[in-house]
Amino acid sequence: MNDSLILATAVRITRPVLFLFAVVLFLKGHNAPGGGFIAGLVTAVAVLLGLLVHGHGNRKTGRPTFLYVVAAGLGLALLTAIVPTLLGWPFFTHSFGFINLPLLGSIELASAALFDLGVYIVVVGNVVTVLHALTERR
Amino acid sequence: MMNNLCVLPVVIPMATGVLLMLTQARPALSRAIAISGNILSLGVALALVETVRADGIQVLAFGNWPAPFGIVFTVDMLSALMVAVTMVVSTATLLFASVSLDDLHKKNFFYPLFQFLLMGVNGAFLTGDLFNLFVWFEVLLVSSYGLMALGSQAYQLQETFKYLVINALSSALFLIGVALIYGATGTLNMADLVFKFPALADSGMAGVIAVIFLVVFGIKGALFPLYVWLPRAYYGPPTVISGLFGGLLTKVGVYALFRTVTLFFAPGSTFVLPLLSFVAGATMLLGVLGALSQWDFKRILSYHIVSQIGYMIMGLAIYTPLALAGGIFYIIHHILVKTSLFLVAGAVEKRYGTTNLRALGGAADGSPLLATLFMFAGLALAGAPPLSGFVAKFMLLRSGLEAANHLVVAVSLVVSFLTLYSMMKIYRYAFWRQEAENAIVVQGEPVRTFAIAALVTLSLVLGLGGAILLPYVEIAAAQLLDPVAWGTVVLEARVR
Repeated sequence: MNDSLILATAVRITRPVLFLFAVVLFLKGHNAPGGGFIAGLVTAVAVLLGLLVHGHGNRKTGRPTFLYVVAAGLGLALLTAIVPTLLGWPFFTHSFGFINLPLLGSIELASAALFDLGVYIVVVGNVVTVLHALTERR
Repeated sequence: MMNNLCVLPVVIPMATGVLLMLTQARPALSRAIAISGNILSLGVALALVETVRADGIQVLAFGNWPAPFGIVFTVDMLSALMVAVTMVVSTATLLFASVSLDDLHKKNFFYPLFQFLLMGVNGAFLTGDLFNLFVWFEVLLVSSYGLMALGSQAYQLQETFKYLVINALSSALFLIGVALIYGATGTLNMADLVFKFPALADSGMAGVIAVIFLVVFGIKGALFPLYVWLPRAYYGPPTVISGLFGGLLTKVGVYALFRTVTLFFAPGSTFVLPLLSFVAGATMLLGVLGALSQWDFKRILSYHIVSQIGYMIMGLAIYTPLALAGGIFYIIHHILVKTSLFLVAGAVEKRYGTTNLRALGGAADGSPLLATLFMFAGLALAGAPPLSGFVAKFMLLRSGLEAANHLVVAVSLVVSFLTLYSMMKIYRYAFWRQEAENAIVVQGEPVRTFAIAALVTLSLVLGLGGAILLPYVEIAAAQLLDPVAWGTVVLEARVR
């Protein structure tokens, strides 16, 4: 909890930018630097800024809610690896295709992005759990 | 032969672990899920052993990227046997733990950490890529840090921290070794390295890399003189967790030595095998001397882990088909027997509240069945017939005499007698004498005894019927001694 007006104002402006930046990083990640891991860390920074300004608010301490988020992310990543085996391909085989959208043109859709989404969820859940544990008062 | 079966021993524990994270507030449900997951993995592991026996080495190229470009899982008989014995002892340990640990552990991620540990151990046994091996080591280490610190006693936290530091150090060395290999050969795929590593022999780089990896796996596997971390670290956590660690974790390091030494380091090297032979003798002798000086059930057993690892490395150092088969037999025997001994210590601790031999006594009056099980397991550890330790030691001694390596044979015989003495000491102080007055009758004893009995029975079966396991370890040894054939199978495995 921090009473600084400057910090609170700065965070109000930077948080949406950070979330948007995370989305950009996530989408760029397939063929360029970026991806689920980094996007997750950037999102976690946004959460950390919120914690600095607002503290824990009314959140009950000691309940590791975000660990369920970690489990969900791990489950999603594992599922994207298992699905190809059901179709007779080796574990972790990914595929991709292109679709045409109005205005945007040809867009690549890759199944690897789903795996990356799992990674993103794991990183966010993990870092937020750690931040909560480190910042809560006992 | 491309086969998705190879990855199931990793996928099932991971899926079970994820499920268990969701149910961790409900111990009864978690227990049911964990045990079912374990039994499923055990079935898969046995199927894998049979598949390898019938169809030869199995390969799985992740994402349909063939070796050496993608990461592969390569399952030969050694990998399959290690996964199978891992699942056997972990199932027994899980049964034991489910009636022994208090809610503090069960509601604080004991079950998920246990499954993630198994995932890491199995992954390390199955992978065919050096960097991937590093990653699996990290997975199992991170889980083991959690399990070791669970309970947060001061002693536990202190020892966990040391364990963490020494493992971080060895992991850093591991990475340096991996980087050196990659810089020198341009590949980290083990099959590819079989053909590219010999080219380094003239430059001296091969020796440097071999020494780095011997140190890394020497720390992880607790070899002389790098075993100092083990006895104290394994004393801290609840006995059932020490039992799982004592049975499995150091053996991952030993497995990695068997794998890397036979694939790259021994062929074309003049110093690796003599060095290993010396280390084997020193490890068994100093380990057993450490055990003799202790007066605590758990600490004695921890020092014996070190001592026993010497025998496995002795098999590797002699490097004949019989010696390697003996070494592999010894690993399997040791994992079963050492875990069962720790579980006996855990059952005694549950009953009398201590593992200090001076405070214990008369456990044979309180629980004759437990005393009998300990007697069998202790004799198996010392190598008395008709138990599994006898078959393993017989193979090792015979191969040592055939190879005229008399010194290490002599040392191993002396160590066997000292081991027997040490087991008699435990028996005399913990099981004979007047029964200690602090006996507490606790619930769950039948399940605990069942878990121990299952492991001891397996040791007896492998001793009386050594011929059952023998064909399998002989296949494993033959595959280890022909790395070129192994590498060819892996590199030529067809992708879809």
